[in-house]
Amino acid sequence: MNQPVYNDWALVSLSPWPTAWLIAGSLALFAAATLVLWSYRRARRPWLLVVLRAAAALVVLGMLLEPAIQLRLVRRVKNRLAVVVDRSASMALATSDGRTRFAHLQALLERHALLAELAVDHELDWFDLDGPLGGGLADPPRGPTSDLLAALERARDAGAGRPLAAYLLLSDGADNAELETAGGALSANAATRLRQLGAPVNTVAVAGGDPFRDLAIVTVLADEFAFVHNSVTIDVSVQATGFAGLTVPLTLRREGEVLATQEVFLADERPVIAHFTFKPAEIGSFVYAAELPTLAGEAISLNNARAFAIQVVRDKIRVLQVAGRPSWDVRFLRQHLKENPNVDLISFFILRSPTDSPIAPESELALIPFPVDELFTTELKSFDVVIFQNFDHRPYFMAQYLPNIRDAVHGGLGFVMVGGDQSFANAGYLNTPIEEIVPLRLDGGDWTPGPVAPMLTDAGRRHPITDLARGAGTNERLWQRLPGWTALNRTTGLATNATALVVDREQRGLDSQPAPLVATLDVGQGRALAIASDAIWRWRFAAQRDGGAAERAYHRFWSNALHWLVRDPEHSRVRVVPDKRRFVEEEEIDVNVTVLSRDYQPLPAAALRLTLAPTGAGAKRTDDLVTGETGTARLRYRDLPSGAYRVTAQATSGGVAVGTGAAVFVVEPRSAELDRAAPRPALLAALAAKADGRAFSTDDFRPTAVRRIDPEVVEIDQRRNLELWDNAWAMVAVLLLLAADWAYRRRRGYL
Amino acid sequence: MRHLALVTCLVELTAAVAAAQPLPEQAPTDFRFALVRWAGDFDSRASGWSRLAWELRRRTTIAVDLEVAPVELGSPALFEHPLLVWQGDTAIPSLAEEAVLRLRQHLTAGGTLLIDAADGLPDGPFLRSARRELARVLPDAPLGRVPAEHVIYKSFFLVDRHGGRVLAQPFLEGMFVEQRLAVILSANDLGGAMARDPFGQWLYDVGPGGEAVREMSFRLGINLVMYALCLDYKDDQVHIPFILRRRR
Repeated sequence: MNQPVYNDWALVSLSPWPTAWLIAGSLALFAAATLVLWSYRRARRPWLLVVLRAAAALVVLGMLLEPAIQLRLVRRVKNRLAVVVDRSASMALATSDGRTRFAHLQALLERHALLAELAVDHELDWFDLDGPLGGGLADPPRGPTSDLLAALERARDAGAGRPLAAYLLLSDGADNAELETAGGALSANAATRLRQLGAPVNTVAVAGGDPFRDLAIVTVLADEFAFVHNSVTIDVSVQATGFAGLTVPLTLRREGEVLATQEVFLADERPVIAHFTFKPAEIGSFVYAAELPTLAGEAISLNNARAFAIQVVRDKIRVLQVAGRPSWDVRFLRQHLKENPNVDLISFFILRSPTDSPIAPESELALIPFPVDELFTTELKSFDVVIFQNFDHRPYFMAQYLPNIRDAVHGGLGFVMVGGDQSFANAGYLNTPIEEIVPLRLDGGDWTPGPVAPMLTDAGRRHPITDLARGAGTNERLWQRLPGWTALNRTTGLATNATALVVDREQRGLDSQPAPLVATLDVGQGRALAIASDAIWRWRFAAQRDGGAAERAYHRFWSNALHWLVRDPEHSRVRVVPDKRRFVEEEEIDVNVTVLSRDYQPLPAAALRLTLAPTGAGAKRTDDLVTGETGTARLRYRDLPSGAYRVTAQATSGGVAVGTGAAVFVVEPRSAELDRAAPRPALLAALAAKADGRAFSTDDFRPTAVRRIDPEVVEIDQRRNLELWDNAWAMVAVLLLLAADWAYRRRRGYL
Repeated sequence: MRHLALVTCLVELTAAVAAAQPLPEQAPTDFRFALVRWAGDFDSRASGWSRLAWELRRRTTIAVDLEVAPVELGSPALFEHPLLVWQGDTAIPSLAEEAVLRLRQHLTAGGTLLIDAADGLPDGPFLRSARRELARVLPDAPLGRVPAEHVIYKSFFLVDRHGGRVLAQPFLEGMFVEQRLAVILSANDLGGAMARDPFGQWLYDVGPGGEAVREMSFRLGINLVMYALCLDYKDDQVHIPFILRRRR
């Protein structure tokens, strides 16, 4: 039988007496010894007597207590040592020797046999930054973020209450959870959380001494929404590591087009924030990107550009109303536009023409020059809609500006020509650029007063401009009841590709077709509207005859017209809305599409074709869906590579086109992990210092030097007592001591 | 005074030149002065409003019919004419409810009513009764003095004095509907200052100031029409620097 190897001992008492008796006996012995010794106080040489009596008392005490050495076999209950291994994407970056940071970490663990020395006294719990280390250390590091403190907290919470000896964090320190203040010190919040970990935090800095060179766009601060024609500011945070004293160009692009470029001076490794301010000129969803050049020797090029999406919405529709002369039609349109809270109106009315004689010097007139140059050059882009209302351009020498107007309409401007005696064929626009953007032909015609009876065409019955009652049946009845107009610009018919929405019930144009009263035309990105009369105001003012129906029709007509002219996405019948505008690689992307009917009610069973196209190069993807009862459909994209995407939905219902809608979103690479990828051994050292641990590098790491809490609980399995006392010999010793005491006293004459 | 004399000379000179020029041809238009027909003498100044129409055509781009149209307050035809002129020199009988209702609808829908006292008496029977009826038409809109800085004084001419056959009241009164001056009341017989006989002679002498005051009458009349047609256009921000510079 093998003898156990005892690994612990203790001094114990083998006395069979109860503890109380032992204490009482000891006290009695002590009292007796003291009394006797007190009696020796006047003796000449008391010391020998004191020694003899004290020794005798001690021997008697030993007889009482029976001391022994107890040999024990003990086993410690191991406490947990949480080993947190950084497997984030930054650990996949190469170091100067060509190996990845993670390879360095693996080599370290191999050198130390997976921390076998620590496993003697502690149970090693292995984690990565996302939780328990499931797949082992062989898988390549791909973690999307590095939140070191959260990883330590997860390791703490995973122990189900078992005591912790320590944490051992092996990482490059490239945390991206903002543990530090702007000054580089640990934040107060981080310090508090570290204290709550309950055990020393030891760190091993991987690749801490490796030279790292990288230029990165760390963050882009931009609102997801912006107002068209209003200033937008974008803050781009740029950081250079290993490139001190560098000036780099920072470029802001919209849909690939350069918007602005700034030179950014990076004096040291602290982030520098560059501000871009611009005014978006168009409504819609657009992909913007901030870009830096890729420099030689950079560790990461992926973080040199960052794309983001901005939905540009309109705060108000900016309307320029140019009227050739004051009239009731002009006045009531101005009143409507001024009263419309969604319209920002600039009016210019020609109050005096070159042939008029006001019979007063200029100083007594409240007239200003017609600022044609400003309006139709620099300011033209600031308008969403331009209205030429009974306006003949010729007296104002505007010929040179007409191409600007045409080009602006091609670029998205809405244009309206309203009739009158100085409009259409009477206004000299034939063979000018304006002819291209007017839905009616200008090669002949005249302005004719007389009764006009507006009537919807087939196209007009379906068109949003002429939908005055929000419902097909009632709308047509409403049109039939509306007051007639009192003048008509008779033309030679529709321009090519134009659509008549309203015609006169009886009068014919010069082309013998029903005279068009309201017509539309798509012009490039823009839209144009023609109203071949200056008497629509009679709806507005005649309203009181019919309980207000005509007045409401007037307001709705112009409101519809403006929204149609500016292609207002809010009034689109096909709306495409991704769950977010910014996703991360491998994230699932849900896109919701809503289709509305002409009366803006949900349209079920509408056929949808969704086209997903990367804004740069890349293959398109097409999906077909059908809307449900709520008029919506949802499509989920998976595994899209990083990049910016535009998803376009085309909807049809019963074979008839409903419309299209589009949205953009950005799929980012694991950029959060790569934005600040430089190894940060100082951060790891700060964590260790704050949490009573020790900071190592891969070179000086020694498992035994890890600061940790020893196990507190001991279990005894086997024991053996080695008696230190033999009562027979003790009795002899007592008798001998007492005999010596007696003999000495006798000799000295104390007896 | 010297300024007034200068204006007089200028007016006479330019009027002579203008009289020699034919009035430019104009297409038919839907704007004309509509005189409210009532039991009293509603059209004794009709030629004055016709003359104002003539001056509008000569001096501005406004296309205006030279004929004056009578209209009754209770008639649906009221809505053919957003600008109404109501003049008289005797007390107005109490309006029928239908007339009150229609006039209220007209004014709240965007119409404008110019009340001109042909008797030139601010507290005369015509204006007293007109004020009474206006209180029925727009009970929530108090009649008050039109501020001197109102756009009506700068809608075409920069006007700082009041015209009219007499200067009975050196200001206009008005009633506002949603910040728009819907009713304008003049006690100075504006129409009388502009009225002519069939031979082209002025029907009435004007008070102190002579022809210059008559010119002021036309200018104020033109401004009233401009206001009815353009509303607060001259209050738009783009106009303000020019107007302030000229008023310095």
